[in-house]
Amino acid sequence: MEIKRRDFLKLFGGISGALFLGGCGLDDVLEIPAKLVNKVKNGPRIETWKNTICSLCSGGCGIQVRLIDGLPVYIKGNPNYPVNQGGMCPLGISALQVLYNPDRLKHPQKRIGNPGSGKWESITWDEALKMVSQRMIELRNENKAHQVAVLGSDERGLMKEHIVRFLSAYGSPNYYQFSSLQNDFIPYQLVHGHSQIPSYDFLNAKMILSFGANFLEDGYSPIYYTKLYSHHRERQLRYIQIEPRMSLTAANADRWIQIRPGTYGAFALGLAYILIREELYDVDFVNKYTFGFEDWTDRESKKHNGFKTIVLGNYYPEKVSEITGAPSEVIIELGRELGNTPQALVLGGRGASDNTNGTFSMMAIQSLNALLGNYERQGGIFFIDEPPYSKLPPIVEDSIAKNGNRKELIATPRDIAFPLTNFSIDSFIKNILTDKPYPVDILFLMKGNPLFQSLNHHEFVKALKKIPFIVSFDSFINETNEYAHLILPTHTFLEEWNENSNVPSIGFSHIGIQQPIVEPLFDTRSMGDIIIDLAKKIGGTVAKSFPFENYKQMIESKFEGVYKSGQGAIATKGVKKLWLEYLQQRGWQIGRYSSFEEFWDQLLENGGWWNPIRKEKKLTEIFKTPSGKFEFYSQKLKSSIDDLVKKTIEHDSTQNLESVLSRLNILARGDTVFLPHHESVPYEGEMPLYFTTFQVLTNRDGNGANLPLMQEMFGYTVRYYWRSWVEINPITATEFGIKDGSWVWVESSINRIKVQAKVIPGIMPNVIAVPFGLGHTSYGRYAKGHGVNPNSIMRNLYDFISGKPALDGTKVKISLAS
Amino acid sequence: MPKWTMVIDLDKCTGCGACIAACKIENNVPIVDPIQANEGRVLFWMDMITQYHGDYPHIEIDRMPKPCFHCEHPPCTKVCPVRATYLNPDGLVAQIYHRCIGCRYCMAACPYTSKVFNWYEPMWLDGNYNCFNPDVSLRMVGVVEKCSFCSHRLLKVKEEAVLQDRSIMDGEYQPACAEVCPADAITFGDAEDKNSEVYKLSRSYRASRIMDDLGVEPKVYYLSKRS
Repeated sequence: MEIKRRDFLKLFGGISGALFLGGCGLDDVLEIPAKLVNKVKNGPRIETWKNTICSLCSGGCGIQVRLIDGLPVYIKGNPNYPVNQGGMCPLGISALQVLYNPDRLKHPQKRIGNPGSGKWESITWDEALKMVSQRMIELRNENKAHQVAVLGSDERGLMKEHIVRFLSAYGSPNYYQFSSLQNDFIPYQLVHGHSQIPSYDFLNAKMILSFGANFLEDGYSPIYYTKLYSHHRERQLRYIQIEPRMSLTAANADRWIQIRPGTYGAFALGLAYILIREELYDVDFVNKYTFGFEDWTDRESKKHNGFKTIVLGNYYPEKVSEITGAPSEVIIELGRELGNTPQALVLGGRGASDNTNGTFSMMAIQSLNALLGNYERQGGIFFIDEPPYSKLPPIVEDSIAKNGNRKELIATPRDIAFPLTNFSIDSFIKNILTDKPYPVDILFLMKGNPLFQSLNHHEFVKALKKIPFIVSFDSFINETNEYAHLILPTHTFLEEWNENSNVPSIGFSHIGIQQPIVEPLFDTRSMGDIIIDLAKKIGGTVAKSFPFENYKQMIESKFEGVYKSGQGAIATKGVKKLWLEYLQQRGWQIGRYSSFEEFWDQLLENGGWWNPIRKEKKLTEIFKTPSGKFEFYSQKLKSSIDDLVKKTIEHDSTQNLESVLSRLNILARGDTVFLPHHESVPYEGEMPLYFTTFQVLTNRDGNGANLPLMQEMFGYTVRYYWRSWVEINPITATEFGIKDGSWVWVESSINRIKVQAKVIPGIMPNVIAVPFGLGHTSYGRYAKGHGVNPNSIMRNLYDFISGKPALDGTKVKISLAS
Repeated sequence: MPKWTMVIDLDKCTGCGACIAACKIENNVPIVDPIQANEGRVLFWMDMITQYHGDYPHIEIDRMPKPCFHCEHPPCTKVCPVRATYLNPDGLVAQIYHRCIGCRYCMAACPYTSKVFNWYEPMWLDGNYNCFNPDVSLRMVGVVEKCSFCSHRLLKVKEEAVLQDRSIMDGEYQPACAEVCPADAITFGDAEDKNSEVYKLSRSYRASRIMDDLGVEPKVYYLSKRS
C-alpha cells in the first residue's frame, strides 16, 4: 500500500499531539506496510516492551524495546540480562535507526551497471533464489562444489554452525570470517593449546594491567566490562593501562603508561625480567604447570634455552626502556607492583595484537599471567563451559560433498607466510587473483564489510571483480556489496530469530535469544531462513541435511538440550546475589518448568539463559598443549614452522629454516623464535611519526556510520561531528607547526589523507592517531563522504604468524594543508 | 513536595556517551546538519565536557556528563519575556515551546550553558521514516530547548501512583540517561526522601555542585574523589 506523505503525517499527528513537519522532500511517497499504517492509524497507543539481543557488535547485550501499538520507539538495556545488566552503549541505543534507515534494501537487488555505479534492479525472491540455486546446482553437477566460498563477518554460535553445515552438505570447505576479531585466538592457542578466549575474574582481582586492551570501547563486550569496571574504585582495584594513545579505557585507568606502538611484547618481557630477577613469580605454578621456563634438553639430548635465560639475557630495564620509550624506573616500579600484588591480572588486546609482531607480543603478555600463576584461581583467568545445547542431526554428505570437503582450502597461504592459519585476507586475495589452488566461482558475503576494513583495497577490488558471481546477504549496500552481482536483503536484527551464546571473554556461559520485535517492514528475509531455502532448492543430500522448516525451528531444537540438562536458569529478576548463593549451596538445578513449551515461553519473555556456576577445573585439564602445560616454548609453533620448512624444501631444496624465517620476516633465531620475544616492526626509516588508529563506541568497525545519530556523536569527546580528526601531542604539533583545528595532510608511502588536527596531551609525542570508521564511499546517504578511512594509507602488512592485518605497522609524516 | 535530583558519580562514569544517545532518542532531539554541527550548533540536551589536566606524561582527563541543572532559583526563567521557561510545580525548569519567541535571553542567562537553540528546521531520518516517542512533542525552528529530566516520564509515574493511591517509589521515575548508564554512574530520585539513594549520595563527602557560589541551587550533584 502506498500512502502520501500528508496522510502519513495525519496518522502520526493522531498519536503525537504536537508533531512538527520536517523539512525535507515534502512530496515523498513512503512505502510503509499496510499493517503498520493501520496500527498507527487506529492504535489505542498501547505500550508494550519486548526483550531481545542487540547484534550491532559482538557484545551480545540484552535489550528491551518499547513498542507503541507494535511500533518500536525506544531501546533500553534489559536489567535482568547478565551480560549488560541494563547498561547500553550509544550504538545499541540508536539501533532503531538501523530498522528505519531510508537506505535499507527493500527487495532483492540485481546489479545491472558497473560496480559502484549504483545501478540495481529490484527482482523477486523467487528469481533471486533461482539464480543462486541454479548456479550452485550446476557447479555441483560439474563436481566443482568446492569452488564456492563464504566470506563471513563475526558470526558465532548457531549461525556459524548453520553456515558450516550448509557448506559441508554442499561440498565446500571454504568458510572464512573477516572481522576485527579474526584470528584473535592464535596466541592463546600457542600457549594454552586450545583456541578458547579466556575469561578474566575482574570481580576478585586486585590489580589489572592491560596491554592495549581498550575493553571499554572495542573489546568483545564493552558494556559487560563497563559494568565490571565502573565499580573498581569501590573495590580498591587498581587499574593500569599501557598504550600510546589515551583511549577511553586509559582515560579511566588509575595510571596510564605510554609506550611506542609495536613494543608491547618488549614491555611485557621487561616486567617478566623484574618478576624473575626479584623472584616475585609463582615458583610453584611455574615448576608444575609450565613448559620451557628453565633451560631444557630434548629427546635428542639437544640443549635448549629456556624463557628465563632469554628474558634475563635480553630484557633488562634499560634495554626495554630504549625499545619502548618508557623510563626504566617505570618498568622496575611496575614490575615490583605486579609481583607484590596478590591477584594481579594481565590482559592484552587490540593494540598489542594488531601489529606484525602481535602473536609474539600476546604470547609475552600471557606469559606474565603464567609467571603470576593466574590460572584457575580467585581473581585470575578461567575458561567457561559451552552451553548445554543439543546436537543437530548429522550432516548428510554425498560423494560430491565428500570429495569437495577434502579439497585444499582456498585461503591457505600459498607462499611462505602465516604458518598458523588457514585464513588471512591477504592470502585469500592473492589466491583468488592467481586462481590457486582453484578459482572461486561463487562468493557469498555475510553482512560484513571486508573491503572497507582491509588494508589493500586495490588488490581486493581486483579479486572481487574477478569472481564471476558474488552473492551478498545484507540489509544495506556497502563498499564490498557494490561488487556483488546479487544482494539478498536480510532482516535487521530486530526482525529476525537468532541466538547469541557465550560472547568471548565473558565470565559465565549464557545464551541470549534474539526474537523478532516487529513484523518485517520490507520484503526482506532472515539469513538463516535463506540458507535453508537455498538448501531445499539445491535438493538431494543438501536438503536432507536441513530437516527444519526454518531457522527458528533449529534454534528451538538446540534449546531442547538446555531444557533437558536442567542447568542454569532463565535470566529473570530473581537471579540476584542471595538467590545465587542459595543455588550454589544446593547444586545448580532448576527444573521449574513443566514442559519445554513453558521453558521456551519463559525464555522469550525474559530474553536469555545463563549459568554462572562453572565446574572447577584442574590445572592439568585446562592446558591442551603437547606438554599438557602452559608453554613458554611453544611446541605447536615449532612443529608448524618445521612443517612449513619441510613443505618448502620439497619445492626448492636450497631452502632451509634460516631462509624460511627470513621469508616470514622473523628476526629472531634459535630457540627464541618459539618463545615470547620482541620482534621489531619493519617500519620505514624516513617517516618521522608512528601512525595508529582506534575504534570508538559510536561506530565500532565502521558499521555505525550509516546512523545519523552515531555520525553526530562520532567525535563527541573532541567536539568534531560527522568527521575524522587526527590526535597530535602538543610537543609534536609545535614541532610541525600545527595548531588545534588546522587541516593537515597525513602522508604515508602509500597514500595521504586530509584531516583536521586535534592537539591534545592524551597521546604520546611522535605518535598520531586517527579514528577508524568513517570515510565511506558507499553505505548510504549518512555514511558516504564523511571523514576519511585511515586504513587507506596503511601499508599492506600482516602479523607474521597469524596473518591478522597490522594496523599499527605504518609510519607517516604530517604537513599543514593550505 | 519531592525534590527531583540527579547525582552523577564521576568516579564511575567512563564517558561512553550512552546517556547522550539515549537522551536524543527519548526526547526526539533532531539531528543537526554536519556543517552546522561543527559550527557549534549541535543539539545535545545531555552534553559531555572533556577536560585534560596535568603535564605529559602525567595526564588526567575529566569527563563530565552535563544535563540541565534544574536550579531551584533558575536565572533563565527570570529573563524570559514571554514566560516560555518557568519553574513548574514539580520543581523542574520547563519549556513551553510554542510560547518561545527565540530571543535566547535564557541561553545567555544560564550559567551552565545547558540550553540549546534550534537554528534550523529539525533534521530527521530522510523520508520522515521515524518513529518518534509519542510522549514528547517535537520542536520547531527558532525555539530554545533543553533537558527536561524526562518530565514526561514523571507524569506517567505520577498518574500510576495516584491510581494506586500511593506515593512514588524510589527509582520508579528515572530519566533515560540514568536508565541506560552502563556504569551505574547516574542516580536519580527525590532528595527530600530520606530513604532514597539520592538523599544519601548527595550528602556524601564526595558530593559537590558546580558553581555553587552563584546561589542558583542546582539539583545536579557530582561525586568525585578528585575535586
